[in-house]
Amino acid sequence: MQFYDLHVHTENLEETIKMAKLLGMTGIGLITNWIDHEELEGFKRQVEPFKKEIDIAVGVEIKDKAQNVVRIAKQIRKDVELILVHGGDLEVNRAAVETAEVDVLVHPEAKDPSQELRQDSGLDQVMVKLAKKNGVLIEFSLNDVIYSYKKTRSSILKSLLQNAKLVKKYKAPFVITSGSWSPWNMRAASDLLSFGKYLGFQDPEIKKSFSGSKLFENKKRLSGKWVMPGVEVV
Amino acid sequence: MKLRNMSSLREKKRYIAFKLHSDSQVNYNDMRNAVWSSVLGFLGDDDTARANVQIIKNTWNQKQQTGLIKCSHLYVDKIKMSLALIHQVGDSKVIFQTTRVSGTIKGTSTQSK
Repeated sequence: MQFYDLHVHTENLEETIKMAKLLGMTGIGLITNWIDHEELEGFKRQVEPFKKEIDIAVGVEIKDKAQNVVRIAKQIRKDVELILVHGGDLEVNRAAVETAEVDVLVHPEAKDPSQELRQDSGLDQVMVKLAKKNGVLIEFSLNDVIYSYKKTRSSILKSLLQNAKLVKKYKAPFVITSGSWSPWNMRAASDLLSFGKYLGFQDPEIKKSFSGSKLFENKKRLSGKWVMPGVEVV
Repeated sequence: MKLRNMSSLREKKRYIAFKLHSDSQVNYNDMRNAVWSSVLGFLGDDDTARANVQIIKNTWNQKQQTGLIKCSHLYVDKIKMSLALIHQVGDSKVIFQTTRVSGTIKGTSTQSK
């Protein structure tokens, strides 16, 4: 089974690659927070030597206001293989699923401490339908569950289950990731598969989400041979 | 005297083989405490009772940091998920990786080769 973890942050590249190989991953999406082009180029240079060991895709996570998310996503689309948008705010979630340049909407259920009383899961049926239309993957991250306890954990699980229910009903694309920020937060495919089953997804659809099809599509588009869907220079 | 139910009345069981990746060696007692606390925290008292969880002591390999957990066949995924939620045992950072699920102890060792 092919297993790509599309959301891995790291400060120690060597350890992360070692752990990914130990856990039997085919490839990983190494993500850096968006600051500017210079930072991104620096991160790409750091990653380059490790590309021989494992399939690595460089991605960017955008954490900004709704209007900036769209602008930045369009600006950097041709520079990176993965564009992730850090959701949580309802306007950001909506902007992300409306933008076809965005690949993954991460943490749609996240809430600011100021919004503690918010009971919603961050997505509604309109947003899920838009995500399906624009091919934006909805992320379910295990890391949020691992590092929360008791009431907070149950609240996060409630939101994840609600989002999973919507994603299943409208057949929207989704991805299950470890969402790790250290090598010790990464998890093996079998464990993330159990997480997916807990959320109510079926085996084949979870395995499809691990296959990294979005990544291959983006790599093909960045190769220069891609013209439009169905048209390629051979 | 050993009690034996009819085979049709016996509960179906599964053995989950796991490997513990950690930054330092973890002993059996620490591992057991971490597993029980995670399973009880995630499943609660009721489901833990129904899951019929047992950590099999004599299958724990201290050197390779591998072991077996027995549970009901209906709770395999929930137990696997509660193992995935363990991130620390004692002072060590850990990753619980489930390697194989089988109906017999022999199956877990032969298939995972």
